Amino acid sequence: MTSAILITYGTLAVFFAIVVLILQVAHIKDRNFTEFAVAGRSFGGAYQAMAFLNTYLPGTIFIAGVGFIASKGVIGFYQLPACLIGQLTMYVMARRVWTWGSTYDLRTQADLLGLRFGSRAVRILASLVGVLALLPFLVLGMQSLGAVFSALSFGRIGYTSAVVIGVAAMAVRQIWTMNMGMRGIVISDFFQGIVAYGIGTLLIIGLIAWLGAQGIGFTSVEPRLYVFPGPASPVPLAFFSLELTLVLGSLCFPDLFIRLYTADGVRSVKQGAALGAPIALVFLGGLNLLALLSTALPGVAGKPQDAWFALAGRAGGPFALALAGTMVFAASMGNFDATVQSCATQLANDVLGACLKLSSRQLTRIARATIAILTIATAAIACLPLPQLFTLVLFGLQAVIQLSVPLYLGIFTRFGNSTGAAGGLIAGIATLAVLDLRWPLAIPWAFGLNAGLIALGVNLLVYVVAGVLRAPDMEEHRRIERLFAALRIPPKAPAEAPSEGAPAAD
Amino acid sequence: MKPRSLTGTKSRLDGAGLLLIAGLFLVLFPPLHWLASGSYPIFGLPRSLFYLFGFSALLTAGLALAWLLDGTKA
Repeated sequence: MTSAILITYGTLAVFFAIVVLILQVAHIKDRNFTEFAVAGRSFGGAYQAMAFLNTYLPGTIFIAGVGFIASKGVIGFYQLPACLIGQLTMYVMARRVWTWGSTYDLRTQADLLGLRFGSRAVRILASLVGVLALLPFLVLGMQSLGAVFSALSFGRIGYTSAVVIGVAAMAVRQIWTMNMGMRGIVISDFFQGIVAYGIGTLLIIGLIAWLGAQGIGFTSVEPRLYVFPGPASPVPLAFFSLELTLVLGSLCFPDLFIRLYTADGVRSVKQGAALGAPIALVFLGGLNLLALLSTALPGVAGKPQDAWFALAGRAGGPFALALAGTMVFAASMGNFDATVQSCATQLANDVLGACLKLSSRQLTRIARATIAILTIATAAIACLPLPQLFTLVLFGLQAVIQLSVPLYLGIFTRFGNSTGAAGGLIAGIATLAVLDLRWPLAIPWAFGLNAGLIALGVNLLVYVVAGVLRAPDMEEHRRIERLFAALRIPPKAPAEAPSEGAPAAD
Repeated sequence: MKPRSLTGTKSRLDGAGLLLIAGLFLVLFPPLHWLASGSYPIFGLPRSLFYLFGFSALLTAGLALAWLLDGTKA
């Protein structure tokens, strides 16, 4: 047993050491806040692909995601189409987002919303919604490492102690996030992505083949697991609700959106989407299929959330278990780094930076300090028993989709104004808070839609009504036309781009 | 007045924009989910898996094609 633990923990230690080595070797001092926040817009398509996946697919997909499919069946496949639609959306919005980002030196999603609506209030509000929605995900990211260290110890280490070890590892990793900002995250994402989704895919294929060798196939799975809730179900729109929430939510997450600004051009953002889609299809499709087939194994139905580790351990012993744990560790670390960095950047850039006149050096210092504070705070919270954490994560997801109204309508159309954007966000969050207290999952009288989607309807209504009632004056009309006209001019290289900042904020 | 593009400033909806609209329809149209529900096999795959993997493969291939045909220089 001791040698088995040496194999599993040793593999994790080697992986962690390689990540740190890569970061040390690649260390370049950030010259200004744009370099810290978006790595000076310097990365190509392959890095973009891995950065997107490492943010979109956290370690919990191996635990909660696999567990959901193992207990509920194909309804749990919602993440695959949502991920592909997310990459397609990134492809379609690439020119607008990247060009505006480069032209006006934008660093965050909230920065872009502030520019588009010419409003400091919208910028601050969007930033706060994004950060608050991400906080439960930070705690969940820390806790998911507890599951890794617990499973890899073969039951020798209790869950609470395992969470403490995981939290400590993640906290140590953040030293490099503080020092290297976004550049360190994108570089480590590339390696972590290869491990989590490259080697992970090979492991998944091997495990599916092992299940096949045990005589397990499609007919071995219970037929009820192939069924979506239908018209006769009390929640006929449950799958639609999950899909729509995640489809809308994907690029509303500030940690995912900020990745568009790390590219060295529109072409790299598009290439990132085109490269990431097939990787997501094979990896996520394979993982989902494996989760479904694993239900035919005795013992999995009783503990679906342990299916990933149980399957790896039974098929390949400590070596496969070590690999399975490393996949979760790699995916969790990539997601946590990006989330904590984007939260810190938004708080510095769009809350403090929007209220106070701060230099580039001051913004960088504030962002670094915020990373440290967020890491310590979430580490402390993650060590506590949190029975309501999953409810908070769901609330965060439903809160972040409220950004989709000003974000997508603001990027793709000239319609809407700051009153509608801010009013819609406030109305949406207030409606969500009220409905979510009573119905945290699906709302029966809404055919299974969740509170976030009902709140989104209210948000959209406010946005549209405000847009219709308050037509833009001539100055505002000209400002928006100038903004969209900038898309017709070929974007300048990052080094040449002026640091104009967001014009005409009220 | 020419209609504006969904995806750029050209006066037409480009391939990626059309693909996004088609993808949203395939993913978000509940009657399709209900039709695809169940284990009845199509080409050896249970019907619901055929639906999920079928349109996921189509979206992926479409995105790759859009990238190959894309004329973006920078």
